[in-house]
Amino acid sequence: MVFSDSIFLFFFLPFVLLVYLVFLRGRKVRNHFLMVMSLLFYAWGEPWFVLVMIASIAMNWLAGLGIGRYWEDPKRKKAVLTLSVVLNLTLLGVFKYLMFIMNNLNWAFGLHLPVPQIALPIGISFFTFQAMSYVIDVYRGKGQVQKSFWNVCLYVALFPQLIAGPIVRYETVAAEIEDRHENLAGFCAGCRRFLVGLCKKVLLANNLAMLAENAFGLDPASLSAGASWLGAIAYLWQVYFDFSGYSDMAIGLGLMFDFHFLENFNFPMVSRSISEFWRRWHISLGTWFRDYLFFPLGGSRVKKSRAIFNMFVVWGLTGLWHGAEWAFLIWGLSFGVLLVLEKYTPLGKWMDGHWLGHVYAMVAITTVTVFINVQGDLGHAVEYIAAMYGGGAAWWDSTATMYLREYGWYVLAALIVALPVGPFLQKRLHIGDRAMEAARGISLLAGFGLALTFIVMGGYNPFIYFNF
Amino acid sequence: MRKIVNGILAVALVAVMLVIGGLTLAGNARSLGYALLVTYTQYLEPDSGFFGNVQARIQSVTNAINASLLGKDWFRRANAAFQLALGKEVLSFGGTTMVRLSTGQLYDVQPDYDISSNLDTILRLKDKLDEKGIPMVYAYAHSELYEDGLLPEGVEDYNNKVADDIVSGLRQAGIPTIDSRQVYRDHGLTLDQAVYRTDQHWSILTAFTVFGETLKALNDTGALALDPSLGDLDNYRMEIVPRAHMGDVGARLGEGLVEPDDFQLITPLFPTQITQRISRPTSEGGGFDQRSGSFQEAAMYMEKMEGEGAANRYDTYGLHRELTYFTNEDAPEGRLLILKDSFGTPVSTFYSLAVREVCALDLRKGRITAEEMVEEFQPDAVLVVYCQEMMREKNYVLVD
Repeated sequence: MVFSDSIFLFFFLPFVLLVYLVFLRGRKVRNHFLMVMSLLFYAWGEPWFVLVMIASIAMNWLAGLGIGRYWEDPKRKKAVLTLSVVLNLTLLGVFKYLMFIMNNLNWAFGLHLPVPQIALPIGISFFTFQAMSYVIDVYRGKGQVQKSFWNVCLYVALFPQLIAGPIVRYETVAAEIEDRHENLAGFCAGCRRFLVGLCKKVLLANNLAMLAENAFGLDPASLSAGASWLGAIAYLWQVYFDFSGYSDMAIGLGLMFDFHFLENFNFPMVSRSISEFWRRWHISLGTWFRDYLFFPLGGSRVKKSRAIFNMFVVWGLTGLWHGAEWAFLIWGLSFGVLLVLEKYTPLGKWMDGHWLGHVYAMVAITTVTVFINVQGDLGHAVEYIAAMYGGGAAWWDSTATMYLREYGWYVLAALIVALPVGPFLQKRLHIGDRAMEAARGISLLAGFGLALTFIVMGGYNPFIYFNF
Repeated sequence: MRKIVNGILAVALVAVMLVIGGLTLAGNARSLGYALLVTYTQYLEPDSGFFGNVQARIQSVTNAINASLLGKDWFRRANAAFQLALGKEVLSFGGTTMVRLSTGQLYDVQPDYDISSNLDTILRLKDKLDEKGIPMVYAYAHSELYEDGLLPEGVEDYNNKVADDIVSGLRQAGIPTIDSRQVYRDHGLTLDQAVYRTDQHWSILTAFTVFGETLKALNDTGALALDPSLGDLDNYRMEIVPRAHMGDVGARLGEGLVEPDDFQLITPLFPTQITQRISRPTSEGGGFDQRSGSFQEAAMYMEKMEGEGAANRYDTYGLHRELTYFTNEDAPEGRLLILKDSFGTPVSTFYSLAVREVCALDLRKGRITAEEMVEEFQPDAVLVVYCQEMMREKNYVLVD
């Protein structure tokens, strides 16, 4: 189930809200209901995968109990942590990476090992990382051991953030699982945030997706530079509005139940460097890798060569976290290369203080992102990037004109939403806070009305982060 | 101020969720229950276990809900109006992308497609028929793009290219093939006469003209002796019912954005006595309905012309069911099997005038194969009336 489809919006969500807020009283009952509905939400897509998720939760709940039991025994405590991390990674490895590994073993060594066809449970990377966060935070003393399996289940499976994040750390919501106070102001603020995300997803991401899909579906040799750039930009922005829209909806839904998730995006398109971009983009993943991998590896306060090695490990794994394909690995490592250049050459500092930094960051990110929209076909990615830089049919053609004619308004709207245009205009035009707030409200209402026409009609509704 | 705005937005969201969700459930409880308990079986994969069964029920209910959402048509039209207001000529409708032709019509752009494997199944059927001495004639039904310059700038389409591949492949295999594009040109039909603005189907006049051409082609095979004058429009009354037809494509936009089509009502001037037996869908319990009388009473569905305003009138010339049998004791002796899609439905109906026994089989609607039907019906000739879609991914089982 996806937040932007009719089943969720018109049936699942109102049912959950009605029962939860109107008919149920008491924290325990409400938590149990929320947990059951979260499992139903997950099972709606692929019913049997819910067993995989429950197994993962049970394993991490036991690991938490084990750490609590051996709290005074550092060796045993660490052994439990290590075991749980290995088991979590094994689960992820089997479902997400086994086919990739077997295919590559066969290819590299000319073997004919059987390649198991294993379907990927939706959002497995998200819930595995979240479950690992529970055990690691308990180990580090940043959260209490949960004796109740149902509470761990609720933390991992909570439907607002279940299948596409943000990756909520246990320490962030540990207290709220047992002690939160739903209220009207929070509910209304949650509704507003949910609508912001819904509009981003339905109006911008889904429409830009059609441009991107068209451009990437054509033979790159026949593409002009203009058309291929428009396709690549549309894809990057599709990913942005898809994921940031989903994060907005998740944060909004959390607020309706008085859970406070951390922000996951902060205007990444204004970045003047790749490092700034990653501080603003998918913040929950970036900080997860930073705190649970980069710092334990030694971070950057080690020898330069070791620090560079650490960066490549983190970015290689960031790539593979997104998908078990060479293209994702290259995508991640490309960011690693750019980040090393920014950190260890004067380029980074210079860009950081210059408007050209914006151009550099957007050009680099748009180019690198091509790798994750080619279904693993590296040749296609290379040809597509070549077309972007003049290796295609022409610099401009009728297809590029058509893209502008058909999607120009969406690109313009995307620009306005992706950049802090509102505050800028308010300052320049001396618009009062009340007028600005009213304008925002009217825009959101209009956007919601338009989004409804797409949702009820059953419009094109792909969801990129679904399978991560 | 922020609190007030938040409150208004929350009321709007909750009201929309409850009204659309609640009224959809209330108005469709029976059909949703049917989807959950009965029709889910069509989503069951072979050898489904418990979870497969659950998945099939979820899929069935999801589709039933999406099909019956409150105000779906209104929202679809509002969306179309929005897209047109943006100046878009490539419009997206619920998973399909269509372009607005210079004629004002919406058209589903066709990607390139290698039809060789699907063509091969037609040729395998022809081989089976050759073994039995049964000739085959193929009428290729083209959709919409009969002229150049109709597409918006920058849109690539392979409808005509794939049509050329189909027609040349069939002719190379020795199958007499009528290409509706050629018929359109030879008979001097104008685009308005030949194609609907609001529908992907060919017009009744084009279907009739193709019927006339296939009469000649079937006579040429020597298997049937049909009256070629039945394909002459002078033997019929053609009434143009203005602004009467609103096809599925036009219905997505609504009359505010697209004008209804004129509908050609072609009926014989000579006396007729026909019996039609037509299968009922399995969801309605299966079995057959039967009706007898004149062409208008038995073969046509004149009741589809009733009612004010524009509606889908295409079904006046027959229903798209798995099996339709026509018997006409006044027609020359012979048995004709027609393999048809929705383009072939009116052609089959006109054939009720020409052959004593006609069986029209729509492979999309059931599980019987063409080969099995040939064994059962023992036709003197086989006529295939398929549009391009039937030769793309949706090719259906012709031979086992």
